[in-house]
Amino acid sequence: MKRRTKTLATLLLLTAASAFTLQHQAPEAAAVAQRRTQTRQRRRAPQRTAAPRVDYTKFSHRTAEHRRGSCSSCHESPTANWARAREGASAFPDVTDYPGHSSCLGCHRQQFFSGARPAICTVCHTVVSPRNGNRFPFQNPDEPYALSPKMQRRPDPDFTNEFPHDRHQDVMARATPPRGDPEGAALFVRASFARQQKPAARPVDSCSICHATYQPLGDSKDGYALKPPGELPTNELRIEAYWLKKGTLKSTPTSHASCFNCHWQDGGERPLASDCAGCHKLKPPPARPAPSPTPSDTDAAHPSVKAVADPEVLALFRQRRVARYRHEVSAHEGVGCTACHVAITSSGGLNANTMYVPIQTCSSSKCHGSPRSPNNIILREMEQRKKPDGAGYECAMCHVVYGRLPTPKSHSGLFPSAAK
Amino acid sequence: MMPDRHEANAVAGAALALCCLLLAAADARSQSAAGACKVNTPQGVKPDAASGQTTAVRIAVVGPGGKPVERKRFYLLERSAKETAFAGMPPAPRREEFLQGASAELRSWLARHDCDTLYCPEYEADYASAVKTVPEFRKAYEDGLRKYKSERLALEWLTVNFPLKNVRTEFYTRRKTWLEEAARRAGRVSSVMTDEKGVAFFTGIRPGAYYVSNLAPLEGGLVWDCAVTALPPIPKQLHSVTVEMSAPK
Repeated sequence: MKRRTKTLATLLLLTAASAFTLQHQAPEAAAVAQRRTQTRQRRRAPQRTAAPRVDYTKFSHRTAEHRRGSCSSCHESPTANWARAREGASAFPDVTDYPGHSSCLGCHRQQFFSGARPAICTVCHTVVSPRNGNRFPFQNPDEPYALSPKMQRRPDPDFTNEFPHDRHQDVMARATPPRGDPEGAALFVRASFARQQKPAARPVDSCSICHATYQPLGDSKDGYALKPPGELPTNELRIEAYWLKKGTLKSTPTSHASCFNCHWQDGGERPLASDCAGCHKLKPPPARPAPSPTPSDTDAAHPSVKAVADPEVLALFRQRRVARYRHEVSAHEGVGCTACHVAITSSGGLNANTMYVPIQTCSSSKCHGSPRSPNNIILREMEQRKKPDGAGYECAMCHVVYGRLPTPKSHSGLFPSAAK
Repeated sequence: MMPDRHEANAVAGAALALCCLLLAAADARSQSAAGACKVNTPQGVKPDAASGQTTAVRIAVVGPGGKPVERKRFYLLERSAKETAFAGMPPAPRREEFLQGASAELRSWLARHDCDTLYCPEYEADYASAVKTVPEFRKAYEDGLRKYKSERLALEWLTVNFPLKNVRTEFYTRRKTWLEEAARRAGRVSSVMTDEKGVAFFTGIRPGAYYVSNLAPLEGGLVWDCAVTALPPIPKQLHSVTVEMSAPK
């Protein structure tokens, strides 16, 4: 009996010991198994994340597959809706609509039919629903597009526009040399008792053919682009505090209207309207964050700048180095554009450098060049800063942001004799 | 015998006249009047190419009658155009060589309108009357009307449907090619177009010796080849030198 009891006790102890051992070994084994799985998962994981995740809510012309075909493989010229895209007399044959579904389906059939609300539909459609065909405005004409949420979502376009200024100026070159009035030729003078209308001023150069004054002064008495909140304070030289005035800015043609009348595809000049890439050049993808742009003289946050509704005009205004300069002042208009924008006719492309106006175009003029001239505001403002209490003076006749900075050498060296 | 001698004399006379005519034509083709140049250099400023600073040259061009030469391209060159560009080059293309097939009405209309191509925007104001009087414009208008179903577009896009491509841009294209080759031979530095006052600036150039030329003679044959020394910049002024170019007196 004792022997049976001993054997039973031994067996029980062994069972308990093995159960205890197993109980303690199990988590380790499970952990090892988990680690193995994790290792396998980790080994596999890089393969999964390596595949680029495509955001089908955004369309890019830069995608290699999209660049493979010609523009006309997707875009029709003109689109069927051109007559409705612009109102009445401003309508002309143009590319004013998205390409059809068929230009996408060849490659994106899977994305078109994935889930109840396929992400790819949001590239064009405002609501993803088979019952709702509403779309965001197409990028052309640009006025409705500029106000659309799609523009807010992707304000940076894929393309830059290439416009060779010099070539277009050459096309408009005069053919014959100027001739004096032929001797003895009869001169007809219009005679009338009625008051004659003042003849339109002859433009000094060909720039005004395309570039008009944005928000011209017209009949406005004070000339402010927006009504200021009250009377504006003046500084020591009686220069009014900054508030954007009409006649300051110039517009730039942005529509195909100024291109297609010569470059239309059925007989016009090359590049033809159907050859989009002739003018629209794909921008390279941003390799790294763009360097912060050089601060301009324009205070884009100024309340009066809200008056500039045109995004193209605003973009050019934001690059200005002389924010307060007004084009529409009679003395400035009479000078002509290329008398100040001196590098434009020598250049094919336009950029901040070719648009640059050297200060010498002002300082060598009759108005702002003579040290004794009351209009020599460059000199008067520099002299104001030299006064005992003038250290904090902000140059305000031409500048907004730059006026707070120290006088640069380009300015201080202009009137050496007057400075002595 | 007499009739034969008369006949021979007549033939010889005709041949001589023809030769004279051909020579005169060739001479007229190659003849170009040299424009007068006057360089206004400020006193006491010496060229200093080593300074590294860039400078500018202003040109002011007047033609016969003292009127400004407007909207004409001028070149800043390293070498004299007469000595380099014109040697061995065919004469510059002239507009009348590109009027084959043009009606008398079109020739007359072009003569009244002062532009190298059909694309001068000042022309647009005259399109409405041109489609009534000039056969080529009328055809372009009718083609446009048929295509666009709009009188406004047919008129605004008149040049797209203009039937004579040689008249439209061939002269401009050929002359542009000729000018580029001539400028290359003379060592092109820069080019500018004069404004309606006949004024333009060559900017961002190094001080040194240059030539200024229009290369292709104006319609009357006037061509300038002016030597100029670009001086270092003068602080207050944009340009250090002015080249006044005029017609010979």
